[in-house]
Amino acid sequence: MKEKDLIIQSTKSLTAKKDEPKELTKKSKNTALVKSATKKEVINKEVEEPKASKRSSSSKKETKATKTTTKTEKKSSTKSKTSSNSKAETNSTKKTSTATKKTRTSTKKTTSRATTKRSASTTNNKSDINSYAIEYFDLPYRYNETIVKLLVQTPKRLFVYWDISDKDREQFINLFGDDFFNKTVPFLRIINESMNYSFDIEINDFANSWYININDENCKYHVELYRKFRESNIDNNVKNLIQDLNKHNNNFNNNNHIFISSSNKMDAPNDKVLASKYTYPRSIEYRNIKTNISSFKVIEKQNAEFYSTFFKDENINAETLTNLPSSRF
Amino acid sequence: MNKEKGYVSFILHAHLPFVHHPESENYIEEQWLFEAISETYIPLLLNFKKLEEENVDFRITMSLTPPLLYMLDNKLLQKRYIKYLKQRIELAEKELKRTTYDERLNNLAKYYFDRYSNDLHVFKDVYNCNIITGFKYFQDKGFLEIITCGATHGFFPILYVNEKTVKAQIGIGVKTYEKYFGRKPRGIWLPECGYIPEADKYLKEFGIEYIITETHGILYADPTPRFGTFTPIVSPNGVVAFGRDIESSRQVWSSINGYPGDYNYREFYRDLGYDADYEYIKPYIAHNGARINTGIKYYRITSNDYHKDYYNVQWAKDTAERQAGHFLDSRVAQINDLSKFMDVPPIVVCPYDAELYGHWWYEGPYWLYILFKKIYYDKCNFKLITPGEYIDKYPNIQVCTPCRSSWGANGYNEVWLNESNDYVHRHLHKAGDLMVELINKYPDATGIQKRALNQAARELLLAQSSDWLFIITNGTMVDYAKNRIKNHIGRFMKLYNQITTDTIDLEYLKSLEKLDCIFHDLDLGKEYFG
Repeated sequence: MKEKDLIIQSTKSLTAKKDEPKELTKKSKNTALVKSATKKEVINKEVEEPKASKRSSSSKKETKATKTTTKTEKKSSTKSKTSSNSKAETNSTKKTSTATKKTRTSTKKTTSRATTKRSASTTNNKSDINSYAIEYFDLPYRYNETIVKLLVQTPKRLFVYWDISDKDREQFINLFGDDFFNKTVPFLRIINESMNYSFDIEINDFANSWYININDENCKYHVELYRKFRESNIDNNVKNLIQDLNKHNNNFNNNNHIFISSSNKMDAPNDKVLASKYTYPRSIEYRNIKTNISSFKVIEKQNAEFYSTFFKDENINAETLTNLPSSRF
Repeated sequence: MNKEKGYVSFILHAHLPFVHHPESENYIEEQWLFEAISETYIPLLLNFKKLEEENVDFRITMSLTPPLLYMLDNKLLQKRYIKYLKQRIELAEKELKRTTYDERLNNLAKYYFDRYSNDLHVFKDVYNCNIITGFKYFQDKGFLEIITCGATHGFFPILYVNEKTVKAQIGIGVKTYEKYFGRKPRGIWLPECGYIPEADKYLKEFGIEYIITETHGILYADPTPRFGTFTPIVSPNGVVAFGRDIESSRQVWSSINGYPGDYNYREFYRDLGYDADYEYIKPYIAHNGARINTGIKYYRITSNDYHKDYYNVQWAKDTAERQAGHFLDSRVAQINDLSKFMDVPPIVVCPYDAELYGHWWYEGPYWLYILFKKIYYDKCNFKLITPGEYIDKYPNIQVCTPCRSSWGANGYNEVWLNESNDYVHRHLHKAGDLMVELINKYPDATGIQKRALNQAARELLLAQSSDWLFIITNGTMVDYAKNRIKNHIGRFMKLYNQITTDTIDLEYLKSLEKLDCIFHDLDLGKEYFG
């Protein structure tokens, strides 16, 4: 994606498209940590400023109650001291950037000017320091591509972000009519591949990301983005069209669901000791890492006493270890 | 000395994000490095030296991350560190005069004057402004095992949406290590201990033998390891994983009853930068007038309330010695108990942030020194060992897949992926995809095009640093972290545009090469992103 295109597209997304998610635009707060930088801002104000709006964080919703986690003593508690105390935050100099489209010519001109100054000096003296071009960037709102990406936050919570390209939007409009995005609502289908089930979550057109609570850790997931007609009475021609579109996707045999895109696959982590998953006696593999030769040892039972003695802080419980296959440790 | 029943392995993770601002001296974030050099890295080196001189055979492992190595090797930052030290010495000199009314305070001023003066001597005269040579010396002597880390501390569990970016983090981390230490690293500190099985193949590809994981990376492994974290496990792909020991970690880490909280230790939060008269301290605080730490701290923790007594160096040392004894006794008992159950000698793995020792816990390096002496001289049932030595001695290891995990709060990914910072990831992923596209499109680039590709890779890698996400989550210095992400992504996109339209602006490229000069001497091409 070209940078210039991104600028144009992000501008478009704010002005032209009725069906686009409405974004809360925010004037960017570019922070210079030092007052002296303010002068440079003035000098370099011709420098290209890609425009972007910040998305509304309020649009994100959760679908199920979040699991309460119990571990407390981790690195972050110590690290937090670092940031909060040792490095005092300076008073930020804030600059309001205007959302205007800049041309390559202006960028080149500015960069060239800055570097001409720099070339006059080869050391890090004051004049050299002042010759660095200061640019202000904002992150683009979108990259104008149809994409669904799945990430894992915890064993019980996924995160998904998505976008639909302008081209694909036009294609849907061409197929289903101008009011396609008004007549349909977006959904996410969460597919647990390990346990072979799925569930759907209705989302909205104001969001471009979502957190999803899941019941089953230690499983492989992927997510599919689709849209569904608000009305159940759909014209037969439209039904046929949908069937035709979905014919290669087993997850979408409903003639009211229009598949848009599928995500990458992700594994939710395990969150318990897995000893109870196995039956004993059992053979366990050892490998000599120098020779790469494997050997096997038969153990009569899981060493429950060992775990209950040395890992009691991890909620290891000998009784549950041996008796309850699905119990948590 | 008795024959050892087990082993203890200390692993210190030394890392700071790459902060380098040739365009201005006014970024207080550069001070992170200077504080760490004075309070952690030099004290550790001095204590290692003392141990060597006293013929103490000790073992310790340290990860020195690529951003830290490049900063320590950076001439501008070295120059600015000397300036920082000279300012501390000047301030301590003023304090010597100002505090003549109180002998205890005056002695502390003298202590700081001597300490910063010695830092200057050690930095300039002993290490010729590059303390990497100090760490290399102890590695070459066999006391220290240095391991590598991800190129810019990118968090693998989130980056691996594009696996090639994880490959690049690993490969460039290994390459940086080879550059500075003249050999291959045996181990890697996974950034934030973020483990994913998908990274194994790249770890193997670049010759990594072992990793460190959080406790549950081992306990929740599949199948369950017989002896928990007290022996390493090896993944099906052949990467050995060591897990953090809970008990020993808690004795040091715990914010409630950990050693660093002792009342005799130096109080981190009372600094002259905040306590002194404003006009007096103004030349030594931030350029914009904000009060910041100066490194001169006169108080001990004393109690949980606001009242603080003056710091007493000797009392603090006495406490460190007592606590080192306690730690030793605890490990002896722990290893005794463990050996009753185990058919191989256990290893107690104690990983910590290096900056805890000295920067946060001022007496930490001295505590380590005393502890290592005690372990060597006292009647003791264990020895210090590095992970590399352990797997050399005991190469027969249970095969298990470690659990996806990290050492962040709650053990998984939420520190680096939550409502405050989740907007970043789509940009990191997109830039990662585009970088791979560039490398595939221009595999045999040369000249200016090659330089632009390398710079684009630097911008991507710098944006990927887990530190920015952490800082945003933490809620302090947020503007700086957000700007770093915006700038690196913005610069990357601009370079991408210039490369793909064959309009590379040489002057602009030169400017970025000076600003974001990490990996300036490495070729970051298809070997990593391809």
